[in-house]
Amino acid sequence: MIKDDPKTASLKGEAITSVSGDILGEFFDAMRDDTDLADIEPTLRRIVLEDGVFAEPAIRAALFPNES
Amino acid sequence: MIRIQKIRIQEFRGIRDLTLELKGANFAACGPNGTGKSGIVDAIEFALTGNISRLSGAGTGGLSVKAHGPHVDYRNKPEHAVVSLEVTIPALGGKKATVTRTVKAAATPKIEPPDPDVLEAFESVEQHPEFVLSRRELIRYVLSEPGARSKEVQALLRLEDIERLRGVLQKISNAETKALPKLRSLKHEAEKQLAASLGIPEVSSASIVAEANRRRAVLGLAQIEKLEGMTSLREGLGTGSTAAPVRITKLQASADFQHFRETLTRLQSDPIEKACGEAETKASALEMEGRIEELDRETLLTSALERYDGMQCPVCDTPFEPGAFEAHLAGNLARLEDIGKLRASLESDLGVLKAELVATGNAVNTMIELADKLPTKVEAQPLIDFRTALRGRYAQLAKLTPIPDTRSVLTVATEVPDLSDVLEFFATAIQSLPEPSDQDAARDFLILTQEKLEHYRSMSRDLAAGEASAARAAKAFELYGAVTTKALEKIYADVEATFATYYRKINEDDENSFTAKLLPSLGKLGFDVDFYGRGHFPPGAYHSEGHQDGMGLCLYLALMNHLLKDRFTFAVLDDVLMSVDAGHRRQVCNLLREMFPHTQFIFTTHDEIWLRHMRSEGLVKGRGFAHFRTWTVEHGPTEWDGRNVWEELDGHLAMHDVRSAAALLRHYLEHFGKEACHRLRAKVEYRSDAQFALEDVLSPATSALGDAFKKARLAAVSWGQTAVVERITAIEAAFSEAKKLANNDRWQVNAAVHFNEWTNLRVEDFRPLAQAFRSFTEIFSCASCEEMLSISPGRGEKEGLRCGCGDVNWNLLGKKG
Repeated sequence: MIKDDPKTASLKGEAITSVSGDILGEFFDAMRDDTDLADIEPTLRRIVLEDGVFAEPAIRAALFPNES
Repeated sequence: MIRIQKIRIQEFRGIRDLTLELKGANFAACGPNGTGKSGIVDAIEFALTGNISRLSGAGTGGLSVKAHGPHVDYRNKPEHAVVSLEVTIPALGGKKATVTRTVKAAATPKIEPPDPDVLEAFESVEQHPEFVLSRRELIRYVLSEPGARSKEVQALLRLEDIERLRGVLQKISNAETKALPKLRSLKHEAEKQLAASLGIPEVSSASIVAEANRRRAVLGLAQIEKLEGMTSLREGLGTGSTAAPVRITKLQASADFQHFRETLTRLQSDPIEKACGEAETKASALEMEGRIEELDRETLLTSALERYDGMQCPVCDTPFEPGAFEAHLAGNLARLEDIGKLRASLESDLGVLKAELVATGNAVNTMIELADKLPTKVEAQPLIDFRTALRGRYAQLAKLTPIPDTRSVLTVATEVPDLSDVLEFFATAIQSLPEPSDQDAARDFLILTQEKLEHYRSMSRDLAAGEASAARAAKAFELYGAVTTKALEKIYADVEATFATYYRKINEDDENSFTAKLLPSLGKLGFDVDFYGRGHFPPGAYHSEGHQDGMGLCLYLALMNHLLKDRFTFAVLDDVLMSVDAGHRRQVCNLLREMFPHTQFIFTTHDEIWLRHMRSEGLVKGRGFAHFRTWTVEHGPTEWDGRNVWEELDGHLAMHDVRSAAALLRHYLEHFGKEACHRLRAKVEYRSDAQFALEDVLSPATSALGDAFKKARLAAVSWGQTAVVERITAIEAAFSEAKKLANNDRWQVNAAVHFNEWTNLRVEDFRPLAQAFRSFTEIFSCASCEEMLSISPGRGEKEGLRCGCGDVNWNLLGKKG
C-alpha cells in the first residue's frame, strides 16, 4: 500500500519516494493534462497515493463521480 | 535507511550471547558450516522486520519464528530470545537509535528514541526486507522463468501497486464496455415502441411534433414549435392525472398488437434466419473438430479473468499478486487464441438473434399484460408458453456451452407456435373496444406518447451516460497503460545499463564489452545477456555458475541502487558468490568498494580465503570481522579470539584433558600463524591448495615480526626517536625471551615431532608451555587495543608497523641522508 506522498517532504527535506509512487504520480500528472480526465484526477490521486486504496468500488466512484 | 553499529544477540537461533561491533562499517562473519554465521543474518533480519525468511516460504512447512526463533534450550521461553541493534541513521545526520525485539513480542519492537523520524526510518527498512540477499534469492533473479523473475523484480522494486491499479482500471473499462450493447438494445426497443405509438415507421423530431400537434389541434392546445429535451407533448392538458388512462385505449391496444405482429414477422425474417444459419455452421465446426473442450477451457479462463478482483482466483480462491493472475492465464489464453476468435465470431452472430428474441419476448409480455386488461378476456396461456420457450432459447444462446444444446436451440430459434387463435381473439377484442371520441383519442394519444417519449429519452440518456463512462474508463486505462509502460521500460533500461556496468567491472578482464537486455512484457521479465559478442542468450545458456552468481549480485545491486539510490545504506550478503573464483572475487571487492562507498555490507562466508580477499582489498578493515572456529549447542559460536581460546584451554587442563588442550593449541596457533603471516607480510612457502599447517606459518610469522622490530628500531634511531627506540628494545627483549620459552628454535628443526610431543605431556608440564605460547602470541599484538600488529601498506615497500588504535605506529623506513 502506498502511504508516502511523493509530493511532500519528510526526513529533513528528503522526499520519500517509491518506484510505484513515482510512476503513479506520472500517470496522474498525465490525467491532469488530459481535458477528458482532468476533472477526476485530484480525487483519484488522493484515493490512490494518499489513502492507498485500490478497491474497485472506490476507483469506480472516483472515475464516475456523477453516478450514485 | 540505517547503518548498524552494534549487534547483541541472546538465546536466538544457535546463538547464546554474542555481541558484534560493526561501527557502521563493512563486516564479515566467517566460519565453517554450522558455526552460526547465518544466525547473525537471521538476527539482523529479525530485529528489523520481525521475520526470519529462512523459516517461511516454500519448503518450510511447520517452521515458524515463534517456535524456532529462540535457542533450542529456550524454545519455551521466547521472552529470552532477544536481538538488539544499535544503529545510526544517515538521513537524520547520523542520529543514533536502538531497536530491540524479542521472539515473544516479535510484532512490537522497542525503538529508542521513539521519535517520529526514527520510527519512520525503521518502518522504511521493514518495508524493504530485500536488504538480505542469500544465494537462493540471487539465483532467482538470474535463472528463473520470466514470469517468476518479473514477480521477484517487481516485488523488489515494489511495483505491485502498479499492477493492482492496472487490474482495477481494466476491469472497470471492460465492464463499462460490456454494458453498452444492452443499453443500445434498450434504446432501440424504446424507439420502436415510440414509433409504434406514433404510428410512424421511424422516429424523428419533426414527425413527433407533427403527430402531436395534430392531436393538440383537436384539443385546442397551442402548437409545439420544436421538440427539445424538456418539451412535453401533453403541455397544457390541464391538472388532471398525468398517469396513463386506466381504461385500455383502442389506440394503444392497436399499436401494441401491431408491434407484436411485426416482431413475430421479424423473428422469422431472412436476416435472422441467415444469422441462425451462420451461427449453426460455426457451432457445428466447433463440435465437429473436437474443440469443445478447448472452448470450455477458453470460456472458463475468460470468465475467470473478467471476475478476478485483483486479489484471488475467482474459481479456487488462491491468492495471486497483482499481475500474476493475468500472467498465469495469458499463456494459456494465447494457445487458445484461434478458438477465442471463433467464439467471438459465433457470439456476434448469436448477438443479433438474442436481441431479436429479447424484442419478441418484450412484445409477448406486453400482450400477456394486455390480455388481462381487455374487457373481453383473451386466453393468454399460449403466449405464456411461448414466452417461456423464448426465455429458454435466450438463456442457452447466452450460455453458449454446451455447444450441442446451442445447436439444438438454433434449429428452433425462430420458430413461432401456432398463435392464430390468440391473434384472432386479440383482434376481435381490440376491435370491440369503444371508439374514443376525437377529444379522448387525442388526449390518450398525447399522454401515452409522452410516456413513450419519456421512456425513450430515459433510455437515450442511459446510453449516452454509458457511452461516456465507457469512453472515460477506456481512456483512463489506455493512458495508464501508455504511461506505466513507458515508465517501466525506462526503469528496466536504467537497471539494465547499471547492471551491465557492474558486471563489466567484475569481469573486465574478459567481458569488458558485456551488455544485457531486460525484456518486459505482460507479467513477464525476460533477461538475456551477451555471450562474448555471439549474441544475447539467457544467463544459464552458456555462462558458468560463477558468472551467474556474479550476474545475480550485479542485478540485485542495480535494482537496489535504482530503488533506494543514496538510501541504500546497508545490505546483508549471506554466503553469495560461492561459485565465484578468487580473481573475480577480488573484482567484486573493488566493485563494492568503489561503486558503493556509502553502503555498509555485511557478509557471511564459509571460505576463509574470501575473508582474506575482503581484508586485503580493503573491503573489510581492521577488526571488522568475526571468524568463528566452532559451535556447540551449549555455547553457540566461538570466535578465533585469543581470550576465548586460552580460557577454553585452561578448561581442558582443569579436566586433565591434555590431548584436547594440545589439539586446541595447535589449531589456534595455525590460525594465529596464518593471520600473523598475512598481517606481517611474511614469506611463506607457497602451497597451491592453501592448506598451511602450523609448521608452515609459525616460523615465518616469527621471523617477520622480529625483522619488523629490528627495522623499526633502526628507523627510530635514524629519526632520533629515543623513546621509541627504548620501547622497541624492551619489546624485542621480551620477544626473545618468549621465543625461548616457547622453544621456538625447535620449530625450525622438526615442527611435526615437536607438536606430537605435547600430547604426551602431563598437565603440570603442558601448562607452562601453553603459558609460554600465550606470552609469545601476545607480543604480536598491541598491548592497548589487543589488535595484531600489521605491516603497511599491504603491498609494495614496507613502510610501517601499526596497530588499530595508533599506540604502535612505527616507521620501518629510516631517515635518508
